[in-house]
Amino acid sequence: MPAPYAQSVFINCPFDRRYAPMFRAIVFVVHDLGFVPRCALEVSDATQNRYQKILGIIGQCRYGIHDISRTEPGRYGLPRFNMPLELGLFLGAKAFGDPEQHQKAGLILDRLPYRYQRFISDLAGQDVKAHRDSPEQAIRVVRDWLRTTSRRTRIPGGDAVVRRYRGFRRELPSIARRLSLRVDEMPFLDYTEIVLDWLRVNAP
Amino acid sequence: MKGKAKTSRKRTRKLDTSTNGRVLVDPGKRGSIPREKIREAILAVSSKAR
Repeated sequence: MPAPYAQSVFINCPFDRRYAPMFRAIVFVVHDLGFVPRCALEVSDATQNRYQKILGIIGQCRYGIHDISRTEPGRYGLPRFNMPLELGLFLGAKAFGDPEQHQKAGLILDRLPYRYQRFISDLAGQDVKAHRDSPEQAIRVVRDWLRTTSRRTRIPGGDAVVRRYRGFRRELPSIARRLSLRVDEMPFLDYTEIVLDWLRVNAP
Repeated sequence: MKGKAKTSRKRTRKLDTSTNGRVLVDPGKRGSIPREKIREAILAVSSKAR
């Protein structure tokens, strides 16, 4: 059973090794604030095509975090367009969907402030924030945005979440070793279960 | 025919609110490692860290 719509956060970002520290930090803060991170990595059903998978997850999430920082040319001399495409799907669902879909709220992350205006200027007026390639900065930005957007009052402050994340990051390699896993090869669903349980064990 | 109007009862999911007011909800999908194993590993590492 998927998590409730109002608690689900779609994470639209690169899934490569270079981005992994940022991805792990974003998943952590989403869990720590009591929301449920969702992304295309959670489904491994080969009978479903990737596009359908993504559409399904977007439809089930009220919130979306979209990182459009990966704009430089990749291995084939071209940038990756998956993130802007999925951002477009999210914005389209919000604009043309049913009343529940209209409630969608999105945060767009880029490396530097206003850089997006050079490559995707139509985003002007959307909530675009800079993480400066820092996972801890991403935690603070996501925390502040979820606090404001969800209007939840019992959300811990940015410093508290960052402190907890540092503790978690310190312990993660040992936890992974005990589970015969390597941190950089950990499947998304195993990672989220570890985060969730670590937060329970280390509740303030 | 007179009758009492039926009110629909919305099913709500019980949430774990044991962590200082923060609501932690499991994602719909499960990982491949049993939860007990994860808990054991976390307890072993976290208690050593204290």
